[in-house]
Amino acid sequence: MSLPPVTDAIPTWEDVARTHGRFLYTVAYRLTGNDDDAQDLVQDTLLRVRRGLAGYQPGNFEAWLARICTNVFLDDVRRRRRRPVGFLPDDPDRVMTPAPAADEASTMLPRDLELAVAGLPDEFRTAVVLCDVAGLSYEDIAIALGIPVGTVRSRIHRGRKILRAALTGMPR
Amino acid sequence: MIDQTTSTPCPWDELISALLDGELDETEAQALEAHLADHAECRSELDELARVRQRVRTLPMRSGTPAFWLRVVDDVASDRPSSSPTAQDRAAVASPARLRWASVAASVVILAAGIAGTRGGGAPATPGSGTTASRAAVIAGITATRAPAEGDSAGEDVNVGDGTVVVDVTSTTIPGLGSDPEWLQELADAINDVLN
Ligand SMILES: [Zn+2]
Repeated sequence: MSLPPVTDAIPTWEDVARTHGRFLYTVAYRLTGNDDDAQDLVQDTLLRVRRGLAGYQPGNFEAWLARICTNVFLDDVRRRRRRPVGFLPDDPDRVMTPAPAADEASTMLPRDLELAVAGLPDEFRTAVVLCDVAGLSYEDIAIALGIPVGTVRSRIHRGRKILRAALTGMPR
Repeated sequence: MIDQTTSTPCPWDELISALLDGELDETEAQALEAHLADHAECRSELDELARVRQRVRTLPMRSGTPAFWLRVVDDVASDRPSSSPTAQDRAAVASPARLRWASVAASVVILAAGIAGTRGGGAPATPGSGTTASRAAVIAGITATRAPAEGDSAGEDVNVGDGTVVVDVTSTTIPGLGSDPEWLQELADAINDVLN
């Protein structure tokens, strides 16, 4: 169960799919909120990786991969106005009534949370997904999204507040 | 207890997520922690956002279906973007390249002899033997034929029609695409489709 030797050699795109496929698919799924769009996003990300691996600098490979994936996603959003299939947090039909328990966020179903993430506005979802799903540092997120670190910080914070509100019905 | 969205939030509030993420410098973090000791509302905000953060971080990973991976690696190798008209309609068409990827992309080692064993309806062959096994191994580009080691609990027998594919899911050296039995069953089905 040991990891293969780490080298600084540029991986092939096939290596990327093999060793980071699940990571990539998960990031794509969280960004798009559904399998159909996630599949397209993974495919187009791998294509871009295949074409652009020469430009890869050894470092945090998954941060690099998540950045490409996010850029492909945002290009798609701009081009096609693709929307996730989740619900918006302020959709009155989907906002749960506040429960007396203070820790509702810990008892909610994963599916509700998935839908809440999918329903985040793009600018918050990208920041939250890169932070909490892809595991990027604020600095790497700032690079990926082309925004200042301070903006990353506020988007993540606001994104989490929206998630909390969506899941508990409590406006904050 | 419920902040009005119109009310002025505590000025420290905006640092709370950064504290959770370890993204404050030492001075900021100490100042915020000192504030938290004095301000119950910010403390409860910290607790709640910590829970949200933890829940998002522990959402299950997604793997994609074996059929998707079998298709997409073919499409990428052929430089086909997702929008290309042919890319979407080819999922069911099998090719050796995709078969190879059935093992590679899935990060599992297929014990090729298991594939071989059963055409005649007999008992599965011994792993590593048989001409069909060799052929399958060649087609699949699979070199490893090791049987699950003693005490290796994760060797999975996956029945495919009248055949048996033995999928070894112990190779956690690679993140892989799936280790749950249903996913492996799908993978086995996809491989069997190619072989038969
Ligand atoms: Zn405060």
